Amino acid sequence: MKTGRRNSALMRWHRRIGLVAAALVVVLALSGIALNHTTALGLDRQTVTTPWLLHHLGTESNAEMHGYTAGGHWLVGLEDRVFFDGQMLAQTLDGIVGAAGIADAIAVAGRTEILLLTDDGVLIERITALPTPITGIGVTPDGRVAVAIAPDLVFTADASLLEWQQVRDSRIIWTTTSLIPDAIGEQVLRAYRGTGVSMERIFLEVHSGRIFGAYGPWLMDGAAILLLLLAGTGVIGWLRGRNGNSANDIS
Amino acid sequence: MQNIRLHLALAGLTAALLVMPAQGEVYLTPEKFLSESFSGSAPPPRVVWLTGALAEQAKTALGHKAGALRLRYWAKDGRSAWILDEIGKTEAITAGIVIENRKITQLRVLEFRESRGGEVRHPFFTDQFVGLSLREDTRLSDPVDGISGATLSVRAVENMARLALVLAQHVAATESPAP
Repeated sequence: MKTGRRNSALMRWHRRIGLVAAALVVVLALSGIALNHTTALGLDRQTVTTPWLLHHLGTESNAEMHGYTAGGHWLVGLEDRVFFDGQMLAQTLDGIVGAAGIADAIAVAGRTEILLLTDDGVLIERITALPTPITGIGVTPDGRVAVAIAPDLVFTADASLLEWQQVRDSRIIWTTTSLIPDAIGEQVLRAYRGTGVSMERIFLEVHSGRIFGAYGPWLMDGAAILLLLLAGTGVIGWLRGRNGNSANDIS
Repeated sequence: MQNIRLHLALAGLTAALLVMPAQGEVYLTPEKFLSESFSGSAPPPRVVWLTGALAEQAKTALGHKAGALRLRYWAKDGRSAWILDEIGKTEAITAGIVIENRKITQLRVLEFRESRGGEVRHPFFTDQFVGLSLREDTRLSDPVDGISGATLSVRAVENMARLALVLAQHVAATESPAP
């Protein structure tokens, strides 16, 4: 009789826990299945650009833009992205340092690399074999690229930017930031937002609970604990029921 | 009680390791790869431009348009070395490939940045490329055994091997040997 009452109470709690966990478990299960098949479902290729969602996920940048003019074009850096006349390049850069126009090309310097672009903004080469960390980029009087590592440590490249040598040349014209025109700045922000976020990222945010805000992960942790409790109460209930049946069979 | 604490600590450590973000790992620096490939004395770099028919061949080899207009390589005594990048799933994999007599003599994964598929760096996989050449249809002369769970990384390495062979054939046919 006592065992029957305990079993009844246990099952009552089992049902209550199940009811509370149900909605979150559905979210966890569906998002988990989707994430297990990210590639097959194409979630990593589909992007979402809904403004309120982008804002909610914090994908809008609060970082400062840095603009340079080179070869008659605007090069703007925003976080690790580079924008050529307001259009975002596919390549990232580890913090824009400057941009220099040379013959038929533009060299955009980051701290540890240079993106060499055509004057249409197409990537010629990402140059990583060079002196670093770059603190400035300029052009020599004969049109070669120069980089400054420190005020008294300057290197110039050959015409193909393949090899570098240390120089002492006070005639180098160093690039400096320019005030970005409003139109270019707006284009940059539009292009930055335009990439959106992948569906995979959204499912990850849902699965982890981060999409529900700062307490979302705790909510999902709670759902996981409830699942454990469900499993526990279910197994205990089943064992008790089986033992009860065995006892009845014997009597 | 101590056992419970120990189990909790181990569970926490395991969870922390599972959720840690994957970092790119450098297995071999380009400088060391080049030094090894040319017996300690790497020649100066040269460049090949991916334009016209070569751009199309490169596109066929990669299965997509190449990301840059020019690539640099190192060549000496009929041997050329290529350091190429190719996206696996979302991040670039860097490989160094040495070609001699239109055949791959060495393929090394220099840097791997993906969270999964890093098994492609192991010799049991990379050694399969040694001796491979390019067929007329821009496929590798022999099939390469894949790795379960690393399909995209395997594909990226194969793409780089094909591209290096295409480029090596091009430079061998069009450029004069190093002085």
